[in-house]
Amino acid sequence: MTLVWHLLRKDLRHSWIYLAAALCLLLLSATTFFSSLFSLWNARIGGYGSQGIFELLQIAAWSLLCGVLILAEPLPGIQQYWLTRPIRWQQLLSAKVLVIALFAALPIAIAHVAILMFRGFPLTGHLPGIVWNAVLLAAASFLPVALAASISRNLQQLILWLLGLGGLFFVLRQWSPEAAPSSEWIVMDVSLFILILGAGAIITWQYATRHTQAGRVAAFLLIVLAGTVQRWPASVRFGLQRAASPVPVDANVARWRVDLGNTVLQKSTPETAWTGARILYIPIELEGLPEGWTAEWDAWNGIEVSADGDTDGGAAVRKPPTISRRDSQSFVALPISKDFINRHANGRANITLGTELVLYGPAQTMTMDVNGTANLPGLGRCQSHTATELIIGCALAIHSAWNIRGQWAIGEPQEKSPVVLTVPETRSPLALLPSLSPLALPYGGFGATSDYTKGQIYLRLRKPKAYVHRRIEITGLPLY
Amino acid sequence: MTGNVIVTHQLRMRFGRHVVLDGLDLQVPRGSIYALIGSSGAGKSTTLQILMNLLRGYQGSASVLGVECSHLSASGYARIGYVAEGQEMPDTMTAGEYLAHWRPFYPGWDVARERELLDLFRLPLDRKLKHLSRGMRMKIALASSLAYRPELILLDEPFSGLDPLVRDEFTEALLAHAEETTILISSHDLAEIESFASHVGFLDEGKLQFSEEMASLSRRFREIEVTLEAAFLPPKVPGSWVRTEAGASVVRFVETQWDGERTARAIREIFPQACEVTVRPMPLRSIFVTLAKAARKAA
Repeated sequence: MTLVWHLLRKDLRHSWIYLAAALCLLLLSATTFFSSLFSLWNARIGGYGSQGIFELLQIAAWSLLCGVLILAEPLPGIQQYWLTRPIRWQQLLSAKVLVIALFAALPIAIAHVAILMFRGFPLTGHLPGIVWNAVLLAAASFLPVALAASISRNLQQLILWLLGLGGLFFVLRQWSPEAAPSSEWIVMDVSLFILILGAGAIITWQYATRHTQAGRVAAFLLIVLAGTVQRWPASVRFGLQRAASPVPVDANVARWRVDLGNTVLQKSTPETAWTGARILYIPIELEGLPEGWTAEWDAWNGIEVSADGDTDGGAAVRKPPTISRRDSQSFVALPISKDFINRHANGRANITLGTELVLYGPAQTMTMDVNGTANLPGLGRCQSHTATELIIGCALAIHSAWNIRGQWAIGEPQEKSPVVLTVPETRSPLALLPSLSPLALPYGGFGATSDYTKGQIYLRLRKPKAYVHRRIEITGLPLY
Repeated sequence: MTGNVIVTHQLRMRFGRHVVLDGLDLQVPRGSIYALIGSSGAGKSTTLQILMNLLRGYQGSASVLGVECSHLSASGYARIGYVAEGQEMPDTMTAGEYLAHWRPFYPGWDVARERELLDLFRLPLDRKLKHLSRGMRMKIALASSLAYRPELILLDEPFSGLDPLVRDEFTEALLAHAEETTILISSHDLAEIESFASHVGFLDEGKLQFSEEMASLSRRFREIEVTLEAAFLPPKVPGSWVRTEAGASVVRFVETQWDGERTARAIREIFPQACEVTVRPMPLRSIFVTLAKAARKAA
């Protein structure tokens, strides 16, 4: 341990300038966060304004510090001064990790504590969230840089590797098809998880063996793997989501009931915007939900329309079905291609629609004064703020996924409230990343103006209980 | 303690299709100053790098201080000093910081010896390594490798590019501590090595052509000049004669197994009409050139 401290002190002596720059930026950034909650929103969404710049500069400064630390004892090559000295790789790696923990993660956590205290958030209950965020932030921000540094001989090579691997990740993400918004959090979390775990493993391996060529190949493969998570089949992505269900439910909970009645696919069905298809409206209803639970359709996962062994490979794939509600009846609007209908005129079709559903527990309604604070279940202490937009910020806390929907009204909430919070989101604990802000700001609203500085926000909070896959199956549907 | 501190057996190493070491059997006796000589690309640096566990993927076996090189770890490195040409150093450290940095890692670090070395080398402790000359950097590397009294010192081309004064200081420091350690040195600087090496090994194309004590080597190599009325190149000469050349009235060759009586008898048999025979001992440099040229010719 003495030698680890010795190495740590050496690293501090030789990288103090980078460390000082990073700490100054953290201080400046924290100072701006003292001003207003709105500035946090700016920093979070826009990346513009001083906060956004400070946030970017901070990440750059911490990354540079991380790179300089690793490159003080470069791993590739056989001419490095330290290779034939009695340093154990565990000591070297521990010293680097300690520097990052004590002089990057800890100052960030302290800044967060200071901001939260300044804003009147009680620390009780929030400390674990702050620590968790600091650890995740350090892992997500520094490990990829440390990985690139561990396979670089010098700063120039590090920059090239960062640009190369970062560029590859970016290209792969762009090239990969967009995952359904509902599974975006899985893609993000899995991608992040793979990056953190993989980078950590490769760095440790590189320190232990210094097999740089293999390390470089492994780093490349890691980026390919993490960058193509979006290309994973929907069945895998949603399989992971189902595995994350807080409450196990059996197949009888939430079943689709199809009431065809006299539904047939008429040739006279109006054409859609996509001229190659006709729309079939199928009445459906969800049954078997526990008392107080609600369910929301999340995504399609497996659509097949066939007749006489022939499959309609076009319409439903190119233009996915939609679910709508009219006169207290739900419908699936399923497009079927005209070619398919013509081929099987007077025949019968079999339809299978795989759906992913989110089952929510009983909703809780909360009220919160505009520009006030409230304890929201599962989210901890939150504050609202209005300027040109309404935002709600919650202090960091480790929490399971919550879904929130809100309305804001001067009096009682009406159907047409002046503000409806943006699309309700479900967030995992990892979704706190990568903000340097100490406040999680998951909920923003549109439509408010500075005139609305009074009144109450009515919030409806639901906790996801389970993610399930349910199929809508129709056999022998006549085609006329 | 006696025995060999370095032992390699059938050591083979290749980079791609290029064979660098081809069945090297090397033994370095404890307490010796062993000079590993050979032309560029003969495999000297590769041998030292394998011994220091810097290069892996070799075949055969190689051990240092009784430890297989691939298992050499911190405890092993604490007993070995290694100074190599082209070794990178932390440029932002001063010479003083560099020495202070290594002190805690060696239980046997001798501060008094460190001071002696600093006095001998006259090192500017407050200057950053990046601002020092190559000679100064080599001296710091040597000082930091001698101060903990290593059992074994490996030096890879340490004299390359150094001015004569620095070489002298370098050699002086080495010799001052030679009694308690074993030194393996690879070098092109044969004149320098000859002055202090106790053993010498000649490496050519990855093979050890010979390995013996310096005194024995000096004894068995002689440059011989036979003066004749009309010189000629004899069709058949003993296998121990190399580089046989004929001038107008002189035949020159190198006897690699010099034995006064036996060699004289062979000369008399081959050149019965010899007018004069001159025998000269050979410096290491000449021996090396002779062997290198003979090996190249044979190849």
